[in-house]
Amino acid sequence: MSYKKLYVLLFLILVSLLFAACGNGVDDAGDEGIDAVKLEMYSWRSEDRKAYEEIIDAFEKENPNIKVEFQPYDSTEYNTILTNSLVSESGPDIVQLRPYSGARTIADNGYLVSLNDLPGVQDIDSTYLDAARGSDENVYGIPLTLNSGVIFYNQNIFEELGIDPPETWEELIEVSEQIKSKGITPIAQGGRDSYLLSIFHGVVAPTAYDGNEFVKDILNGNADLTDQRMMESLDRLEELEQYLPEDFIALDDNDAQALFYSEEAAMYINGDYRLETFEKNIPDIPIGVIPGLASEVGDQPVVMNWVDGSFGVVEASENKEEALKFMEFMASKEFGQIFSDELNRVSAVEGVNAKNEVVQKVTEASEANSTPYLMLVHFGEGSPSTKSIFEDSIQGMYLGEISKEELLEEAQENAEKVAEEKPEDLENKEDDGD
Amino acid sequence: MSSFKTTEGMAHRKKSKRKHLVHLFLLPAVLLYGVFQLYPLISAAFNSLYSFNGFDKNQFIGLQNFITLFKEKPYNTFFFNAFQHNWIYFFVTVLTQLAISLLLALIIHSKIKGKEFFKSVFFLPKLLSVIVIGFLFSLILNPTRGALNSLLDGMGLEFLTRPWLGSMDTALFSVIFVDSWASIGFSMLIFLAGLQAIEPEIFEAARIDGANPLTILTRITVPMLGPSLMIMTVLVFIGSFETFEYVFAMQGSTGGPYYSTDVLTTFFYRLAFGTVDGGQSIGVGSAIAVVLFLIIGLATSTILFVFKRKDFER
Amino acid sequence: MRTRWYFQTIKYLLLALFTFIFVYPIFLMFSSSFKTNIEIFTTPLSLPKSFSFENFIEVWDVVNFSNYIWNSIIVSSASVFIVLFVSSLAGFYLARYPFKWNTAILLFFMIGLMLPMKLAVIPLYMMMMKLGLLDTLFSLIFIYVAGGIPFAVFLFYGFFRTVPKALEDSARLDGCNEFQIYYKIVLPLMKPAISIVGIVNLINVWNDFFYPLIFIRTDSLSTIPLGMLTLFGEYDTEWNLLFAGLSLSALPMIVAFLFASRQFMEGLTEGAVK
Repeated sequence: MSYKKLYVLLFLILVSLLFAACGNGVDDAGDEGIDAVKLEMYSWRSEDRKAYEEIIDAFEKENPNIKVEFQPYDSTEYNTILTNSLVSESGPDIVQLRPYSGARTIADNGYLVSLNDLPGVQDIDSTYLDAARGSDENVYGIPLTLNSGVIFYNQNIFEELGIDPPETWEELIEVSEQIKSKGITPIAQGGRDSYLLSIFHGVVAPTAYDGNEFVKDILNGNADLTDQRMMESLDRLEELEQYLPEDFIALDDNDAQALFYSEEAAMYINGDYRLETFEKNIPDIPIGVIPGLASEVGDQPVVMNWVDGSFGVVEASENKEEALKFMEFMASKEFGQIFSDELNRVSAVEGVNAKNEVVQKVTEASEANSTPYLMLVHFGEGSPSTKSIFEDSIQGMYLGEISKEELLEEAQENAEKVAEEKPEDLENKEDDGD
Repeated sequence: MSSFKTTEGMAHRKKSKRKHLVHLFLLPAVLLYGVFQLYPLISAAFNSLYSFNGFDKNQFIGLQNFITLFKEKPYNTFFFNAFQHNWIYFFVTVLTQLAISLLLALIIHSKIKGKEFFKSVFFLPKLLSVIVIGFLFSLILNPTRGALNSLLDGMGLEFLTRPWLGSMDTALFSVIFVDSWASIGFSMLIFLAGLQAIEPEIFEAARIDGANPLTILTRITVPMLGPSLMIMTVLVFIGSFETFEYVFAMQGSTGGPYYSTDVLTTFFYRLAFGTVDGGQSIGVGSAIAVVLFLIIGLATSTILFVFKRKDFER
Repeated sequence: MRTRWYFQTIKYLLLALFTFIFVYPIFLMFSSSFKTNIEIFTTPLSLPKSFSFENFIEVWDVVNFSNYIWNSIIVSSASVFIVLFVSSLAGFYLARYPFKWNTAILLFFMIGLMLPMKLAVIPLYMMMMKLGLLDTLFSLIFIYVAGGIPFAVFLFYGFFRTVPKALEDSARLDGCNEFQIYYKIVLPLMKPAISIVGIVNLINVWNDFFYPLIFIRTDSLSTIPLGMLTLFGEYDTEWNLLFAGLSLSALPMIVAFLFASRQFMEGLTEGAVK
């Protein structure tokens, strides 16, 4: 009885508070509450939905007249959906952009608003911004984070077998041999989605192809993909095959993760963003991270990294002003901190420090010595892109369909074709301008 | 008299007006179909003559897209590889889908109990969405956790277990098998309908003449089923060349592993809408569409022409 | 008449084998949807230990299932109804009024029967954009109707030709107009044709996922197959939820079929006989 009364009382107080709130700023608050601008935001990170919703909550608290709706899509479908909605000019206000060539293509088609003058953009390192530039060098997206390709390992297994995490390629092979002799799969790797093979290559290859030296040579035109150094990196992939699960080309990333979860496999190679997945799914297994391989024991490891997707504002949006406000928020330190904490990621915003120790370790290593994700950063363009030819061909190599030489030749041929097509595109664009 | 004449004239006019109204019967179908199907088909064909920048038409380039498709690497490798798979798809489907459904139709048509039950059971998969079937079978055929390999293990047939969707040798056949699994019920019904249309007296007579079941099958049943066989062959042919969903749902738009299940429509899809890290190329994509139009149009009209001629002869 | 026993045995064995092949995957889908994720991985083939609807409830909660079902119902019923109405009229016209352009019109419809419409998806897309129909259920309805018309017209045309004209002539003498003849006399005789066209279109439209994938973007406008894609994107490691989602999306059609399997079958077979 008395409880009921209490509830009624509480309810009445709440109601009166609500009315009072309305009464205070009759026109202002009341109207804006109803007419709140709704922003639609597209992303392919459906697994990060909860984190984004929390971030959005923080933003909405500061900007009560703006509502942001986070709409994630399946990663493989995302490009289709994004292109469709941009062309139809009826879709989202804020879109997530694939890094490098992905963002560039969309920006070059005039679908995005330039963010050069957005407050906070100057606080973001320009190497990050490079992933979100158009051909006109303007910035079109706010990058959120840097991804590093790393080797995860199960600390339990390593301790039980009394082995230390490998630092160099030679040690990786040694360790794998030891693990294999105990009947455990050394590396859980899936090859069904071929993009995983590109990352896999990117993590183990840099010390084989001489890291940034080779990248420089490629960019100067002093070397191409058929270079001997590239060949050596493929030799490594071949050598590793014996340490991967049986029929790994048939396994997708989930299967590989499952092997890692069930402790049937000791290591797992992918972007550091998987850390969050592991903490969610296997909080009881202590996971260590090897940020990259070093040339010699004791050297700084070479961390392969690339900028993840960025967020941009759609030119056709009716609520550009509000969308830009959200962009400003995304470029702020506050956002960077929530993002880093929620998702265990490195933030692109300067001065934000990750709480998670493993993330810190990766960040430090990556700041000390890093190399770009060669295929994504420099070979991501074209239809089909050289990257996709490369990774699909690695699949073919593992399946015994093509040789390493053929693989590199095909990739190089495609890269040349893409390079040829590029100036033509620019000409067409100029024609359009007239 | 004059008044009579006018009324007759009026009646006549009224009648002819009504006659015109009859065309309204045809109009909605022609309009809907013309606007939403025929027009897009034709304009897809025209698109193959242009270069594109994203979704924007750039300039007229004649047959350049076709030259690219047939002559330029990697397009030509992709094209011929996919083209070959479509043919394999067709021939294998004839065996797995048509042969099995004909067999099932013959059994059900013969003296058997529970006809209705078996008919319904065999038809069941057709009720599921391709995407559901695709996902379901990618779970069942999963190499480590899938039911099929566990089943084979359990039956002591370990040597048969394999990465069904992940090996160059079995991936395409697995996809075709799943397609057939879903489609057998429908073609079985078509054959059953054909069988029911054959007059029982013909079989009686043959049996009285002492023909054995095999002779009856090859000499009477199959020839009498001609029309149904023809229709099903056409449908399977069209189906094999436009197949997309099963490959897409189970192997992704690149037709993995290493393009071993790539077909013309998945190649088309990649070019038309782009991939995770590859731009689109609508012009070349439309060229594929035109090639497919030609293949399917030619093949089906040939088959239908033969079929029609036979039809009229009767 | 001698039916050899071993012959019969082989027949039943074959039927049993194929029954297993067709039913088992579907059975597996339903039974796995009651299991926990761990159960699925450790004992993929055994029956679930307990029948709890938890997976279903969770899937229902995380995805907008009731919305998807509703959209699927609207799109399918509208498309099927329009296809039936429009095509039967056209078939009636082509079979009954001997205009000189009828052959040409039949050929015109034949093109759509032969060519894969999927490949026209880009022009279709741009057209929907110009009409402002992108991301609406109307876009789907128009496409399904247009796609269903050729087959339906041919089928109705074939059927109408088999109906004796005498009935119509007497109706005409009684003063019925052409529409009344179609509506009151011919259509009721067309039940087999209506049911085959209706069923074939219903199955196709209900299960299609290609067009929603391209034309629908808003989650609340998704049909069931498209909704499945979201589920598979978001919960790709939780097989129990995936199986539950698959079962849920398969259920409406299977239930409808269980109730009306005889009509389904008869409709389809009679229809095919022409």
